[in-house]
Amino acid sequence: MPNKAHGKLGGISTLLVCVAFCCIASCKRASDDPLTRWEAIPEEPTQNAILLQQAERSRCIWSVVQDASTHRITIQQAAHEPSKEHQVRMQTETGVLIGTDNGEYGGGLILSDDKRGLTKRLLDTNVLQLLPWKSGVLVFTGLLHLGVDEGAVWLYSKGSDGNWSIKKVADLNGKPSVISSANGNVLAVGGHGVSRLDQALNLTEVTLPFAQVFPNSITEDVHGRIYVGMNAFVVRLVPAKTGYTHEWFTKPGCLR
Amino acid sequence: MMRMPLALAQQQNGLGFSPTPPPPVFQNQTDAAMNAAAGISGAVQSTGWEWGAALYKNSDGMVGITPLRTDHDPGSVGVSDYYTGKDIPAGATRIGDVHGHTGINSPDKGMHMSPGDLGNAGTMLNVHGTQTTYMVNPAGQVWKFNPARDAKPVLLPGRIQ
Repeated sequence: MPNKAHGKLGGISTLLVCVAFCCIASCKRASDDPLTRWEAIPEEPTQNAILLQQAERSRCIWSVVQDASTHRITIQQAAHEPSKEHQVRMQTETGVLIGTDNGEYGGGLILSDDKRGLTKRLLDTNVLQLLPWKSGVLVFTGLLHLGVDEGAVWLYSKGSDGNWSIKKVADLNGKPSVISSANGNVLAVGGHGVSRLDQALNLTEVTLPFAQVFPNSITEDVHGRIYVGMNAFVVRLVPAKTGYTHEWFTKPGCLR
Repeated sequence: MMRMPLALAQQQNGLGFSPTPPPPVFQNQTDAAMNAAAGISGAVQSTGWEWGAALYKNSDGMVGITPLRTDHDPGSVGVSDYYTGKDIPAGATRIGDVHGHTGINSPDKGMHMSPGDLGNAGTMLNVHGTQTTYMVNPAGQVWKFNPARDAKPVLLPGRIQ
């Protein structure tokens, strides 16, 4: 009999431990979701929808940030910066890459090797960002000025012959306004939507009506969900069987 | 005689500044461009960003201006069809654009049309069949360039105050 009672108690204990574990796990999941207390927009707005017009002049500007050590994503209030950095640099084994973006006045990519006193112009277009890549450096270029709206990504890398060169990887759908890396992938966002380059440099583009909402930040969590910060909204892209589903969130008072 | 600048409403919002929409239409392209340039000049001075708009011609010959826009960038502003096409009425045709320089990060303090301005004018001429680009510089001078007619940009008389 004591053994039977002990077994019953053991079963109950196990059940309680399981329930507690599930509660903690689900609570943790909820607390890890940066959009827990946000309002979901039931239907995705289309280009020039009233919601987007309201967002264009909204006081709320949301920025998504990922903690480098915990990978936790947080959402912060942001502001449109008065000016932008127009030069980017990266040390490579061939010298320093210097990219410039002077808007309508042009820009370029220069390789500067102080040791040998050499300077070589690699690109004659506005350089927005340089990102280290396993086989070299990814170079993002683009310009949005008057009727011109273009963007591209290039790879500066060493070939099998040991020589370094730059080659275009892909054209992008318009100029990206923000470029960042997360989970080993590269993300870009602009007025036409989101671009994602995976580790094999395969490009996925998701068209979204961002012309009026000024996307300012983008990151990807460990589950592959992409978060974009912008005027009035945070948009989350969730991997689906084909492509992504799009979720739009806002806070009370941001749209009026 | 110089036209009066648009009344500019100073509002604190996400853009930090919001220009009053221009009157709906003008008798001719120059009137529309000068009015847009006045509004843009004020917006540029208030924000430190470039602002711009597209010009369009209605079927009755009147000329309109799309709402002024900015990309929060001191060195460029997009007024491509993707960004302004929604504001061009049905039946109207795009005939040009207007924008303002900040003078930041430019070799000539933004006083003249840039390589990007001249390149855009040629590209848009090919796309739309007609194109006049107007630019208001930090001194309030307005430059005009129509690549189909002008060998180089032309400085218009007067100055935006």
